Amino acid sequence: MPFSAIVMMVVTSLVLFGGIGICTYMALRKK
Amino acid sequence: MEKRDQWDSRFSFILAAIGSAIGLGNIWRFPYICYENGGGAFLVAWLVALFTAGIPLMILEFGLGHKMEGSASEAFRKVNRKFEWFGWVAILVGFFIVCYYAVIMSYCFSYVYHSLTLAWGDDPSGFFYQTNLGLTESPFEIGGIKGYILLGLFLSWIAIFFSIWKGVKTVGKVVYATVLIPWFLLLVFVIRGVTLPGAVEGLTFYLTPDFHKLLSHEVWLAAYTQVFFSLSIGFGIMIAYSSFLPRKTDIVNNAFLISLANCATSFLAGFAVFGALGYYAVKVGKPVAEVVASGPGLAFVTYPHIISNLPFWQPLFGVLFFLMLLTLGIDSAFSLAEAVAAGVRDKWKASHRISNTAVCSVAIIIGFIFTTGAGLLWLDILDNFMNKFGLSLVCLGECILIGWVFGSGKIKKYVNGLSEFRIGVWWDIFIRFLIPVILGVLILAELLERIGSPYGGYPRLAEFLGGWMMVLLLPVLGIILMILKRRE
Repeated sequence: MPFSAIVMMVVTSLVLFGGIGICTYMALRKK
Repeated sequence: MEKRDQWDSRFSFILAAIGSAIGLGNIWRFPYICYENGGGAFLVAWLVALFTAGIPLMILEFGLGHKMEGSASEAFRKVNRKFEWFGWVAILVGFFIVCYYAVIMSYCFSYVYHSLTLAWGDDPSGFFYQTNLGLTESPFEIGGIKGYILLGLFLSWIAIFFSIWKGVKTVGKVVYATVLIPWFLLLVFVIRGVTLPGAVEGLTFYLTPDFHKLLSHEVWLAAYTQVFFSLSIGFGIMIAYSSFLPRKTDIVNNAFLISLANCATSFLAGFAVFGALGYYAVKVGKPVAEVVASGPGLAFVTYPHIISNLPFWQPLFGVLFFLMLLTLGIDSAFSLAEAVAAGVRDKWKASHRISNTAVCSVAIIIGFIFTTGAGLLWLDILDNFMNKFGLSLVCLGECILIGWVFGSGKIKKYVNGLSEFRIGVWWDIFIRFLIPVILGVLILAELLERIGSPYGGYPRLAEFLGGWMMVLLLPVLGIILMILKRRE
């Protein structure tokens, strides 16, 4: 698989799953 | 005054909203659109569209529903009595969609059964279109009603009816199964997909970026269209769901979490689909580009091919795949039905049993047309027009009525009063300027295309009856429902 495809995969995963992690942390902290 | 229903917990609400947003499109639409529009480069446009249009609209719908404590029709009536019809239009778009969505679920029901014996044999295409659907040549060649599709339709509606039995009280419990099971199954298919020999070929197709495509406006329009279609905004679902939240809740965090979870599911689905497509392409000795497909063709033709070619446990993977589609679809379907039932309850103070029975009965009768030999053709026309015009016009109307007439500032102030992460002026700019412009371009582009040639090459009369007429019916029915006397 080309390097650029791996970069896109990592960046998209970081944005989506990182975002979910931050939102979940904020929700749990408030609780 | 009777107390309004409320979610058992915030987690139930989040799961229900995620379940509504995640549907068949996440599996059979997103991966193909991504591949077709520049692969990895499309992901950039898609994420930009998510943060500039999807999430702002989600915040708008949550804020409106929660502030006004009503279904879409009730919420817009509280904004201004003259706008009630518009809320009904949003609900009706969802209602027409659930009429045929239940039929697609019926296909999944029948394929769970067919998977046990791999009934499609060597010809999944002929099996699906001829044996299973009895597909006719033209929309006007109706053909007979297919008995087992009708049976599947009844089963789908029974499942929907009981899922919304006591409104969000029941929905809040059912979603634990209908969200967590398909997520688990998707994970199984991702692992199975990427570990198949040849999977890398498929994933390379899915993710290799062609950054030049980002200069094309078509890629950006495809990205925004994907976001609008995928988040269950514009059907009144999110307005109704948020109206059942307790008074103290975090609107912005909910909107971000639900939108991101939906998109993460789409992104993961691409691995399952393209991993399997890569394996299949290598197995039959064709390039991935020749085996790639989307929509019902991917689920009911290409995937059965792949299942038959798996090295082991073909029937098990077949059953699990169609069970995944079924459970993915059902929570989208019952959220659409609940949005309509909530509108009926708010207007006529009907009980859950009466509103649910009325909604399910009318929808099942309309659904009969889609169980005939020409059903898939009518379904295709209605689906295109409800999404490309119905949904887009509702989202555009929401931006204009809330952004400009009611004032986006009022919703922003309300949402910020509840949320930890505050929205700023960027949100007003997206709601008042950016999203309406993009939606305007999308609607205009589709309008020009339809004037040039009928959708899908169907006869103009069929396009009018199944498409234009249904779109025109939306405001007419909306006004009639508004005029009908409400029960105080």
